[in-house]
Amino acid sequence: MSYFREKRIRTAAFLIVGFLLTVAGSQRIQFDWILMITHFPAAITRFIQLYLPPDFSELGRMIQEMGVTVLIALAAAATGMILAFFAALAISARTSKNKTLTLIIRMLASLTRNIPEGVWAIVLLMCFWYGEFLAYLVMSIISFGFLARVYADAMDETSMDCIEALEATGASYWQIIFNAVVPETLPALISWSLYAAENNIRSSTIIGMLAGGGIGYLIGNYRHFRQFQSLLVAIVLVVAAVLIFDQISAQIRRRILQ
Amino acid sequence: MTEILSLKHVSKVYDNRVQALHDVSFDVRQGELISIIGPSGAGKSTLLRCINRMIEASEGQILFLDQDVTAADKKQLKEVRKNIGMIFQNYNLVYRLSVLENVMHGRLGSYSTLQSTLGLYRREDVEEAQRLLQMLGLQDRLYEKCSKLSGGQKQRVGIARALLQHPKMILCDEPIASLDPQSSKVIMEYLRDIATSMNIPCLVNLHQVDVALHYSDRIIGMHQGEVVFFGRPQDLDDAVIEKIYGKGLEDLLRHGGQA
Repeated sequence: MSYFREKRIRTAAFLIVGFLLTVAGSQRIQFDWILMITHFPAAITRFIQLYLPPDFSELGRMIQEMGVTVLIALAAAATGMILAFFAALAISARTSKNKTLTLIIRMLASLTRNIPEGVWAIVLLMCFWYGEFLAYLVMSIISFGFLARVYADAMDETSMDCIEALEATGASYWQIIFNAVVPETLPALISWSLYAAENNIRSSTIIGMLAGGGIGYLIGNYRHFRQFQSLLVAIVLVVAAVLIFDQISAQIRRRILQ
Repeated sequence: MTEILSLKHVSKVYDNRVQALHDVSFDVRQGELISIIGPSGAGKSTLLRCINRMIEASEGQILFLDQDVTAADKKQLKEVRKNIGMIFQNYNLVYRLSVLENVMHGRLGSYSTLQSTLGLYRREDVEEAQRLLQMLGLQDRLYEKCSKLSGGQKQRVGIARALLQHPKMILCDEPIASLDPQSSKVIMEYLRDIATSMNIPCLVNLHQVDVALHYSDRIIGMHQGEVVFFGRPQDLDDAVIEKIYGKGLEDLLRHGGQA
């Protein structure tokens, strides 16, 4: 009785806090619900005026640039994968040998992960040439930070048992890594790597706008020159690319998990 | 008979000050099967792992083939471990790899990282692994993932892996604790055969007294980290069993299981 009552009270408290936060937030930014509702039809009309009909005249160039973007995204994911693998070995409790190194690498990974891609692009723009290389660099950094974390989590889940068994045969550290830890975690490693690549394609729009290169560069230009009808086509193209890649990686995952 | 292993006054105190082993001394001779029995927490697993230094003993001397294991440096320790096979209660296989790959792990010590990662194993080693698997009745499952095997089959893979090491001794940590009676019998028969025919001594943690009585040449009885009995099975009478298991069967039933 009191158990369920407690649960009810907790749920109610949760909802009340959520409601209060919403009210407080909209007060702060002076959000006007009524204005929002009354203005809605006008906003729709404006959208239609600006973005429609879609302009396909530049589709060929867009597809070409989309290809460049996918290539950059995959290359960056690959770079991130390699670096993240070794970083994860230093981070995971199963595989780390040195506590100081663990701390340093974990902080490095956390730093790269917790600075958003837009900020990386802006910061690195000051140091490197605007263009495809910069986009690649930013995506590599983001992939590295993300993958180091999830790889380490996957390695933490390797059973201590097989590590112990290989240690008992006189196997070396790297033999244990490549003959026990990697085989046991491979599905997770591949799955997360595909996800990182997918993320890169998704964020290529914003990175391209800021750092240059690929479809993002085109999107930035369309926005700048108010070619909204082309902009819409480009955005739909990115969404389509992400969806296609998602399908492909789902197929790959299914194969490797068997 | 030659002594393969000799423990002299070995003690182990864990960081949390739990005394797992207290002044343990015994010796293992060529071709012997020695069982270690005792209730949960008697220190059986700790004892086994101190021998190949998966756990570091706090005190005492461990002589393996006349070499002091406790004083071995990293390279020497690797050699010691190569010479000692180990079999586990949970089989400790890499389940996503095939039967053959798991058995090949027994030879890792004699290959470089690159060779083993690329599977560049010498032909005679692969053939030997296949022969061992045939001997253990797994010749049809060579390329199957270990996760698909039954418990008894997994343990046979564990035995093949240990044998491929060309061990001078095999440590078995509760090898049949997770198995049904039929598979247990098969595994114990193999261990008995390894000791007798291949002349490789086996040191086996067990918690079934009847199994220990049936298969052992000698039995070590442990109670709270101390060896309270070391002798032939026929000398293990009720008084000794009470010494090992405390208040006798009642206690044994209550604790049941494993170390």
